[in-house]
Amino acid sequence: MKHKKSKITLMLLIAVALVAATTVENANPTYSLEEAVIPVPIYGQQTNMWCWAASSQMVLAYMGDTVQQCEEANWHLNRKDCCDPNEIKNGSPCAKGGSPTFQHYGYDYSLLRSCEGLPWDTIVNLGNTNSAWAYAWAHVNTSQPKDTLCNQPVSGGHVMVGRGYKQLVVTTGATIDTLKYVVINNPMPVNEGTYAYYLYEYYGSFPYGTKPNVHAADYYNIYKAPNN
Amino acid sequence: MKITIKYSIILCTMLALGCTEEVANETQPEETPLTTGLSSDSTAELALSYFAHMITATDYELMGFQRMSQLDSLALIGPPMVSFALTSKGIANNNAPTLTQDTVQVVYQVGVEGDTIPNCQMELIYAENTWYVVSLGNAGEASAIATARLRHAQKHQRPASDYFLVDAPEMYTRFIGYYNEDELMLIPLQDQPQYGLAKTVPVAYSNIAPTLLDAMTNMPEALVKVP
Repeated sequence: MKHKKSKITLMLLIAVALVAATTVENANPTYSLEEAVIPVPIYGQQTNMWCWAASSQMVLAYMGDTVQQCEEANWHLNRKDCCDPNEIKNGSPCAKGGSPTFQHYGYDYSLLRSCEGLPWDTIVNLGNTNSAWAYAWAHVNTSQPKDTLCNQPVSGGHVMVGRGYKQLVVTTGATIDTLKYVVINNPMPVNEGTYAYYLYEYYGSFPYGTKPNVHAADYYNIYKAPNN
Repeated sequence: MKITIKYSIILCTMLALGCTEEVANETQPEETPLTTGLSSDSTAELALSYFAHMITATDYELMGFQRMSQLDSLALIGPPMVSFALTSKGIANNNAPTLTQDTVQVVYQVGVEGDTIPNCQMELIYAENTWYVVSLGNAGEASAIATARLRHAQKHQRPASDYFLVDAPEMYTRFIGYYNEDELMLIPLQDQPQYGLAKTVPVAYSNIAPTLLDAMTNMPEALVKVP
């Protein structure tokens, strides 16, 4: 009798274990989202060279200042004709590269030059404090390993705007996967611009073509300088 | 020229359709994304369920959707498009677009089940035995690519799987590519009159290559200057 009871108990235990294992295997995933998306307007760059001007325009508009990309080009190139409609086009002498114009409009910022971009915690903090930022990645003129490229001459690149983050934790049984995405405004395509999530690990050097791309810099903690 | 890209397409298609699973299962690091070991198709399908929980009332319109309820029936729209790179070096060496050096990129269009035009798109790259969804969004480009592909495919009675993407990173330009018999053709996605490119009007690669090479090698100066 005692032997029979033990046998039943053992079978019950096995059955419970099997059910438990199956439950874990087939467990429906649960999702937990943490996010911050700042209302930064999207402006498309007006020539294929004006990503820097459009990104500045987006951040400044969010901060309350209205600027035109052609005005930024006038200032940056020391010209007066860039707001002529005939000059706002690809191939124009005004369609040249540049860098964000925050200081010209009375703003100061922190600048981080790095291969990796901002730490995730900083991006979360910027999002949670309603702070937009601009960042640049660059092509470089060499085929060296990417982690040695940060201070190489830049042969091209792109500027975009960070406007928040999305962090999704997916729990499936005993497995946890954390997805970290940076929310961005891209001034491309020309005259349109676009909104997207970029995987955090790639936000600073989005793979695009055969040239080595590296993260170049983040312009963050942007604020109106006191005497402006 | 044709052999290079067609062979690459076969390779990419094999990768995209699941030939990576065996390789991916061989070496799994301790901490792995849930996409490790999956094909690009499976990764994209899994990502749909993630993104349905990531897109919120804050930004569903920015992602190209009209109603939140559309997120309940997200689907991949049409066959994925492998992305190839067209560089000045490649053109100078008289090569057709080739695979990127260390990544394989595939673009999936994302929309509502039953629709033919997507709301946005996701871009996957293959690295370290895993497919990663590196971006989601780009609603305008997704619509432009899908519309151009659909119109051309219907007009010429070609399957949508005939088309791929050709990226020219030095001039920040993306084309749709396809073969017309032996001729590589490029469909521009934007007007660039200075290069003789008109939106959605196909041009033969052999005809436009010298212009593209000239444009790439004579870009006025770096697009971005970091202080």
